[in-house]
Amino acid sequence: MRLRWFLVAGACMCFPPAADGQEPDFASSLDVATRVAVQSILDAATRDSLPVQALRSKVLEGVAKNVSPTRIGQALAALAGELRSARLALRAGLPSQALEDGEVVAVAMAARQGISFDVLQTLWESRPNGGSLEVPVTVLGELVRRGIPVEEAAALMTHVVRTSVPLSLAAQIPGKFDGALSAGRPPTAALLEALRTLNIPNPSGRRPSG
Amino acid sequence: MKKVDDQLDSYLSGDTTIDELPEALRREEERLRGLMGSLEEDVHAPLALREGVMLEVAKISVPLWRRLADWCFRPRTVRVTPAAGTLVFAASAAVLLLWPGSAPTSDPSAAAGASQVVTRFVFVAPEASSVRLTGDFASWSQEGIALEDLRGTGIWTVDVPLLPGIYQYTFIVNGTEWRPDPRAVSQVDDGFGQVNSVVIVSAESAT
Repeated sequence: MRLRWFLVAGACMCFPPAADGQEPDFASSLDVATRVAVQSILDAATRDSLPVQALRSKVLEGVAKNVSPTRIGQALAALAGELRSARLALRAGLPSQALEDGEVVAVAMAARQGISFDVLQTLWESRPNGGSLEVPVTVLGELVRRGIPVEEAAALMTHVVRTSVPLSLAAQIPGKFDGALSAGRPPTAALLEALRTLNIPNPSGRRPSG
Repeated sequence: MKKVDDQLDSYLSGDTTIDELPEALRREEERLRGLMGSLEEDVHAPLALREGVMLEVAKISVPLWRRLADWCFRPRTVRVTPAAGTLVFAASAAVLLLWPGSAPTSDPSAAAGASQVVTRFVFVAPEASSVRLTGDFASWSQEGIALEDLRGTGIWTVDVPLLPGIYQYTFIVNGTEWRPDPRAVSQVDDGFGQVNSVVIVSAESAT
């Protein structure tokens, strides 16, 4: 009788349920060549506490788009490098802050727009509570990508964060800006109109130049 | 062996009686018997002494944490059958593995308690016979999520409940053409020579 219980318990220990529900689907969706191309990158990312889900998603995207395993591996390595740099910068400047994966991804994407971590650090320092900065950082990157100078975009988003503007409104700034721009407004006026439309006060003492 | 030892040995073995011992040994034996007898009597400390000691002990106050620490760290024998021990261990391991949030994950859908936001995707393609949506939120499945052209005007729409976050996505037209969303807030390099669209999903409202 006891032997039977030992066998049952042993089986439980040897075959635990998957901790991450997506893991079996992810592994089974890759062919051997792709798995070989990405496994070491994913292992290193896991060790370094990078946002692994974003990396897995990039692999699945490559598979869905019929990209070669070699190219998937290259794209994955590049993305992992961006995420690693972003996380290292955040950890170095904000050692006591808890970081969400989405924030790390957003910082990596903002870095593509040439936004330095020093600029981003002001967002974290102006955060009145522990809310996620994924959306503000992303919006900041989008404004810079649209030609708004980094300093002005950063000042606006710092104001948004400091005054706890709802993220649902902040997320609409780039779209409203595009709308005003396509209506013929110059960038400065387009940004002011976007803020006015969303009822977001313009940061005092600053007027975006265009 | 000395003579006196022989006499003692004979006496202790029961071969001789006490009366047969020499005078000196007999007196010694009687004295030792008396001492043994006094040890067998009940001896009680004086009542005043006991009360005094107990009063002194009562003055020593042991804090609760110290008593708890003593209880926790005092070695004791716990009897557990191998089967019960194994079951307790297996159950503990199962709880740790299955407990929500114990597994490291960056999947936004794993955010317990986060409410989903219904997000509308629109794609204008009058020439299309089918339009599907895929992206981070659909594990980039080629099957994706089907859009519908309800009025036959070429305006394809679908409402997708998503957790707050930033997602990359694209449309698949007629099953083969991967096309970004021209209405998206942003387009980003996908690393494979194409672009993905970006949607920002924030709590409380769709974007």
